Amino acid sequence: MPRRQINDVELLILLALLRLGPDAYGVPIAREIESRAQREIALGTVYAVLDRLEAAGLVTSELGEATPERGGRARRYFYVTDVGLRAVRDAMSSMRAMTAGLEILQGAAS
Amino acid sequence: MSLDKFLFRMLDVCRVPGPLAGDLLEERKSGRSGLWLTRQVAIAVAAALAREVAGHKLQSILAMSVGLAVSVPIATSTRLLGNSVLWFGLGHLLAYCLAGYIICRSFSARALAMSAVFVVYAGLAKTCLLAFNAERLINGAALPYIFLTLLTPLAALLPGLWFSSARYPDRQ
Repeated sequence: MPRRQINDVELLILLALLRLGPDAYGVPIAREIESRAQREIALGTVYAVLDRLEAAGLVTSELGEATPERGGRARRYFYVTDVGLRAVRDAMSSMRAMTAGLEILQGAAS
Repeated sequence: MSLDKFLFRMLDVCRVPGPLAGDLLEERKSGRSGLWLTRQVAIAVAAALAREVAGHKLQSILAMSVGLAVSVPIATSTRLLGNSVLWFGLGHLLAYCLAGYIICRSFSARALAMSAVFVVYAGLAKTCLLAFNAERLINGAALPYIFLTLLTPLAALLPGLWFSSARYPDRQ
């Protein structure tokens, strides 16, 4: 079966999940991407992408406890699966291969 | 009803998943603006409706067909009563409200999503028709008709909102 290719938003979200570890739910995921990648992603988009990734087996999720501060709504925590990790590695490796030796990008990466 | 209450009610009515609604409430309490919340809710609602439509493609096509079968004869027949802007507007409003109502009765489990898909379809179809007849319509007298033609399909959402509000009661 061919491996699933991931797009840039999916890659950002998977990297945010890897950075956050077990505390990854909607709010910190969106904030992590906003602070590190300077890209604002709507929470609705984050969940839509995560649903898609979960359907493809790249992430799993579980519900936390409902809290009164959240109007009795539970948090949904997300974790990267082995398949997801492999997809991230593939995407990063493609990116490195495509950018290697491109002088025009020198200095833009920092 | 405050803006926040209205927006969170919309999340419930449009069946936006609880964890996402909880995240939005958490962010709002941490100081995000009302404008930020409005934009986030609009995106969340659009995503929830799109997901529901994508998961029920056949029902969506049927809903569009039902809407068309109801709205076109009514909108056309009201023209017999007169060609004024008033009759045109009333006829179209009645046609789309009834179409929305019949769609909601036929697909009550997904009333809002199915009426929304009909509104998008009707809006796109009307825009295409106007674009094809653009040369004939470029004059001041046609403007109110164009305006009504593009806006009246939204009336089909009203029964959807009403049905969904009744189905998913206020949890706050």
